Amino acid sequence: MKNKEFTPKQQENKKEDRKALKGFWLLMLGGFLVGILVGFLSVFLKDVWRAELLNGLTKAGSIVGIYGGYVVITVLLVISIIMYKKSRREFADWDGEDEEVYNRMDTRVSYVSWFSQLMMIASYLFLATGAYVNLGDKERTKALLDASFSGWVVSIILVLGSMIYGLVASVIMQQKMVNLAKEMNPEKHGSIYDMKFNKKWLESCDEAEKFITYKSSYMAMQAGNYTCMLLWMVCLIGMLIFEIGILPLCMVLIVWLVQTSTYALRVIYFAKHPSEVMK
Amino acid sequence: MPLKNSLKEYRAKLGVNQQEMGALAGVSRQTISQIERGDYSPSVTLALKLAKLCGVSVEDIFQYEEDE
Repeated sequence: MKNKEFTPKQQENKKEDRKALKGFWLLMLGGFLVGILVGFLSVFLKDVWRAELLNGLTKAGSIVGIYGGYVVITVLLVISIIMYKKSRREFADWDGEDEEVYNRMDTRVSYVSWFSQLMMIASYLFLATGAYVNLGDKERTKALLDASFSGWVVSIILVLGSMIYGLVASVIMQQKMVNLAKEMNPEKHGSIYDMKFNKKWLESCDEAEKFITYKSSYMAMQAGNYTCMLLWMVCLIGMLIFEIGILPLCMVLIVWLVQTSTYALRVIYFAKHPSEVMK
Repeated sequence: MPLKNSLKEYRAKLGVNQQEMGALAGVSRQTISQIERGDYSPSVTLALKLAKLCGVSVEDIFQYEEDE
């Protein structure tokens, strides 16, 4: 029987695979051993530490859930306001050419944009934490109501208040920074209050800015994939130790699936419609 | 990317600043600045636009040099 002859490219592929295979198997073995350890510990922790861990987390959650949102959002808001005011002052004196000044202002705009998103996420997180502590567990809710009905109502108001505070702070800071960015770059368009803001903003970006956006998005997708993998492990442990059920794990997998599938389908689409890529 | 350019000199001859050049070429001031510093290589379309604005050929503005 004649031996199959490999093409130069096939030989190169085999060489590359052989080179990378060692590291791959080491990673698989490491993952397997970690999985065994986590599985063993989860059974051990469930029997020995579950009650203590749960108690501690609930106590911490009851304080953090109510006041944590105000603290985190205020810190982010103060930092954002300081950065915004600095950029405003620099922009007023800017000659329109100095690259160093522009880069400083632009960096601050990006940071405040990021902090605005963090404020929004924090407001959702602390609403959920506060809601869980005050409403999530029937026995605990009954105990809180029996202890003090007015106290329980105040807790609920404070929790809702922190969410509104976070959302309002986030939107206002985003609006301020977007408007400053539009003054720095007059060709930019879009209002933060417009539902199609992201689309209009991207349309007003030039090729270099779009390239930055696309490259950053790809890196965000990769980070998202790693995070989903990690969260899957955390949800698995939570399911085994804290009996949180399978729903959180499924939610993480749905996010992972949507992210990966959107990317894959877009690649297929753009391969078939290359003229759409440059739009 | 190994792309040298003389955009700044041609822009000075035109007597426009980066903002004005960007507006004429349909890109941001920052992109013009990045091109002039060699931090960004424009697409073919943008390179042709810039050459047309300066009244010269693309090769007059942009020179490709092989890496050593």
